[in-house]
Order: sequence, then C-alpha cells, then structure tokens
Amino acid sequence: MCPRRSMVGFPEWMSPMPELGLTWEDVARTHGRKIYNFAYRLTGNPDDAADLAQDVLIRVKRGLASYQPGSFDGWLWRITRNAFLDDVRRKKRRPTVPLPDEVDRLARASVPAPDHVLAQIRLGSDVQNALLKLPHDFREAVVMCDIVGLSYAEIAGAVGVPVGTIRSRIHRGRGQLREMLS
Amino acid sequence: MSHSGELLSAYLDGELTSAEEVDVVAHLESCTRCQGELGDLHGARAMVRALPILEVPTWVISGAAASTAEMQVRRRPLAWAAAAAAAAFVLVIGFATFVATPPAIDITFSEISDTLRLPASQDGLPAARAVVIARTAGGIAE
Ligand SMILES: [Zn+2]
Repeated sequence: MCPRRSMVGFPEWMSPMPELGLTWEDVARTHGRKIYNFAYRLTGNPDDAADLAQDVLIRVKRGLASYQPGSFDGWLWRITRNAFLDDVRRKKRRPTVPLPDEVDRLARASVPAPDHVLAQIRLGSDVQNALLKLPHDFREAVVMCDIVGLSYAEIAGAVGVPVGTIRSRIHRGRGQLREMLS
Repeated sequence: MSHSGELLSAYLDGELTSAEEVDVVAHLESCTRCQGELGDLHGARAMVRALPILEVPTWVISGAAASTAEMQVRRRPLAWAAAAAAAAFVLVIGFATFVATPPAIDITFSEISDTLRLPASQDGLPAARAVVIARTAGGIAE
C-alpha cells in the first residue's frame, strides 16, 4: 500500500522486521503523522501531541521485536491509545483548549491575516473545542474514524470493545458535536 | 416503524451490512426525521474531516530514532515555538471547505513567517516547515 522508500538518517540496526515487511522507519514515516494528528485532536495541544507521538514511536520500536503477526493497525493503535491514557494518568491533566490567543495574536500581526483566514481559524477552533468537550470514549472513536481513517472493526480492535459499541460511540459523538456546533 | 438511529452514522461510513443498508435506504425514502438527522450527522462528520492534517515535527521522529529502549530523547528546537505558532496559523488554511476532498494546500514555514513576520528559525532548521495535507475521504493521505 505504501511505497517502500528508505529514509536517510536512521541507523542500520533498526531494520528490518522481515515478518512485517516493515522497518521501524517505515512505520515512523507512514504512521508518524497519523499518530501525531490523533494525539493533537485528542489533547488540543501541539506540545503534548508531539511528546505523545514520540512516546508511541519509541514504544513501537521496543515492541516490534516481539510483534506477533496479526492486525498491524490494531496493534499500533492499541499502543497509541494506551500511551495516551498513560500520559493522561501521569499528568492528571485535562485536555486543554488549543491555542487560545491565536486569533487575537493574528489579528494584531503587523501584516493582518485576511478576514476569511481569521474566520477559518475560529471555525477550526470551534470544532476542536467541541471535540474536547466530548466524553473521552466518544472523542477517541470519532477521531480514530474521521481523522485517522480507521474502520469500525479496526477501532474496536484497538479499543478492545465490540464493533457495536464503536458504532454507538461514533454516532453519539457526532450527535453531540452537531448540538455544540449548530 | 422504528427510526434508523445509530445505523445512520454507520450508513454514512459504509459500515452497514447489505441487509441493514437496504432497510435504512428504504426507511429514509419516507422518513423526513431520519433524513434530517442524516444531514446533521453528515455535517458533523464533514466538520471533523475538514480539520487540517498537521505535519509531525521532525524532532519527534529524529528523537525517537535516536532513543534507546531505556531512554527517551526529547529535543525541542528553539524554532519549535515559532513552528507551533505557524502550525496554528496553518490550522485554518485547510478549513476552507466542508466537502470531503478539499484541494491540497502546501505552505512553507518561511511563507508563513514572511506573511506574519514571525521570527525566523534560530538554528536554521528546515524543521519548522508546516504543511497542510489535503484530506481524502478515507483518512490521512499517505
Ligand atoms: Zn425515521
């Protein structure tokens, strides 16, 4: 599915994992962005998302040695959500509102952003803020579906609940988003 | 006649069995309430899908690559704060439309920096480049 392309700057010892047909750098390259965006939409905070994405990639590096052939996406996203939950427990923090002063800061910029750009910032922030207000289980399911692009079965495998539960969470999450954003 | 309820989200996502889909489609033909709910759900899904995809900061991957199993290496370049601000600005750019496949927009950090007169990267890292990648209906483009 993804073209194989070697990435410069990674030492030889990391590769390859023949049972996967994937090297760690393949995983980092093809999934790093998804993991980061998952974390960003769950936390609303770019620093936390970056730390979390790095934590996940390190866990993947450790885990690939003992990875048993199976659903790679299920395995990867189980690691990712566990890392997120560990992080939440460790920091005991609530998700933060993203970049609260961004609109004001841009409005004061010496070269003002066009009005339509500011309007788009506000819309994007509104959607992110609404996501952060969802119960965690709903937010996780919605983000895995609509940001990461996983199937219901893949989400169920990662979260460890029946597919019907995921279907319900996505539906209720979207319903609540609609209420908040209308 | 019972309404379609949570089958509607699964219908949008192509996650129904063919038998369920036949039932939902038949119901939708005659039920304005479910038609309205389907429109609302579609709108909510479109708003989430229209959120821009942000590029992962390069130090995240290089730091993970450099780490050993026992030690995490975290390095935030000085430019990261400026990059984060730029990324926040870029947040908006992909939000131009609610349709499933907006056009790709590719903006370099220097373009954003120039526009906003943000401080330039202090260590010259090209790492601060922030890119919005167009979403496809199926998720993050590879
Ligand atoms: Zn109905």
